[in-house]
Amino acid sequence: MSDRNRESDLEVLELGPQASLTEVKNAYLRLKRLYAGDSALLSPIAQDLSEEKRLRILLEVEEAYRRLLASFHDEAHRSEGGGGPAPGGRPPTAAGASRQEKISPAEELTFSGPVLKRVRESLGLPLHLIFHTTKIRVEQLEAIEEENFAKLPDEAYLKVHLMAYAGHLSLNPKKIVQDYLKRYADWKKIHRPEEE
Amino acid sequence: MEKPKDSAAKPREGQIWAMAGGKGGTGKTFLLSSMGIHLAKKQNSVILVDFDLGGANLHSFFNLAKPSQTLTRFFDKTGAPLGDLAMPTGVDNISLISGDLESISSDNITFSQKLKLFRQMMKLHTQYILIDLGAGCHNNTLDTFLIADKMITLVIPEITAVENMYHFIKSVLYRKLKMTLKAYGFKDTARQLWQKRESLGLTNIKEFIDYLRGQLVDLAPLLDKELAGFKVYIVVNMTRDNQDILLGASLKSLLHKFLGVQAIYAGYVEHDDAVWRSIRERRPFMLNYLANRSSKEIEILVENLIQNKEVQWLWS
Repeated sequence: MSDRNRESDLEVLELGPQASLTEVKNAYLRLKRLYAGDSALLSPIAQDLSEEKRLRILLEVEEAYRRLLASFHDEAHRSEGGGGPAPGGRPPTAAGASRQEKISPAEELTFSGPVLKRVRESLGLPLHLIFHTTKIRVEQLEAIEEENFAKLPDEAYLKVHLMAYAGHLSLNPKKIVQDYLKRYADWKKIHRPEEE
Repeated sequence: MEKPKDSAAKPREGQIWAMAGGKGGTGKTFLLSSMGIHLAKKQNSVILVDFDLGGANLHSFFNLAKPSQTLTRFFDKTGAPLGDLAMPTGVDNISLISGDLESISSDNITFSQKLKLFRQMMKLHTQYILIDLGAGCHNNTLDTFLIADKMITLVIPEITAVENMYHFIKSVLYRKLKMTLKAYGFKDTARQLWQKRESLGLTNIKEFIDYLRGQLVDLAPLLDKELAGFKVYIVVNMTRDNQDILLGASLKSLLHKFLGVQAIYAGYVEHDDAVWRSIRERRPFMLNYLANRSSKEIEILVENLIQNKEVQWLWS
């Protein structure tokens, strides 16, 4: 990817040319939320914004983000001294690379605690920020990520926490709850069989 | 005021900062007085101008009685020079020019009086001139906003405030565009095109300006020049959580995408009961609640405005 293209992609995400990977990820999340159809902030400008334009913005943001991720990835690859990236900046998909491709595509993946943690870290979100919005205590969040099941609350509460947490990471809450509770149930069968 | 030729060459004594936002009750006057006090504490000379004609109350933030010298004297037969109307506030380095309280309505101000006011404002002997503008989108408000070196808009995390702010900036941009087109003799052409905007497929003012650029080749460089300096500073007041803080960044995005306006998210100030207490006690907040996070945030905001910097994110 040329610097020029990269700069215009960064511009789509409203970032300067020196933006870091973390800034790119945060900007992407923020813009995606802002231009999603249900964003309350859009109602005051409804007359200036056609549905078509809104969807075009979302698409531009999505595409710019995808290209930027690939370009950051290539950069990391080059600086590691590994083989150069394929021309055209195609994101490498082989194993042994950084965490991004380990967490996608989402459908083929089981959302364990460590996976959630990786997603969160790749978004550059510290736990205390998640606490700020979800009001789930940091120790609880840590227990979820470490799969420290003994420290977790009852299933009903856990489910609520997981949904809030997943929503914050822009993940599908249903899938997260399903995956995670399955792991929780497996653990329970071994460690607390009397509750079954 | 909109004479494009001499605006760049005009030597100004002080930097003019104007604060507006469309909606009332967002804390403009409080914040402006606090920003003034912070500048003054750093040994800058500051004149606060209460241009909230008809709703002037800036003096109350300094525990001063209703001022006898007000802008009325400037506009009425007395014709007092603006500099003579500045009165001490009791805080070092800050004086105050009060807006009128009763006798004149801002509709009675003529265009030439307004120009005279702006001329004298630019010649005030001080380092900073902070103008408090009232709510609404009156032409006097828009024009005063447009002469400022820093056009600051204040918003609070409420959808009504966001709506009014968006409308306000849109009005300012229309006004600026209109004045520019008029100054260069393109007013009628532009009006005709504007009336046809729907058939031209233009949905917002940004698209209209882009269209003008393409259609009127002579106008394009002039528009670029005039609108290049059109930069708005966003401040979010009364934030309660991170979502509220993010509002500034979202507004920046919307202004850019739909109005083509360049915005700088200069700062936010968290909701703080101490503000309400300080107003009730009639003691300037920035002199009495120094330990509060909100007063630190005001300091950061002022520094950002001076240095043209943006809010620094927690995670970057």
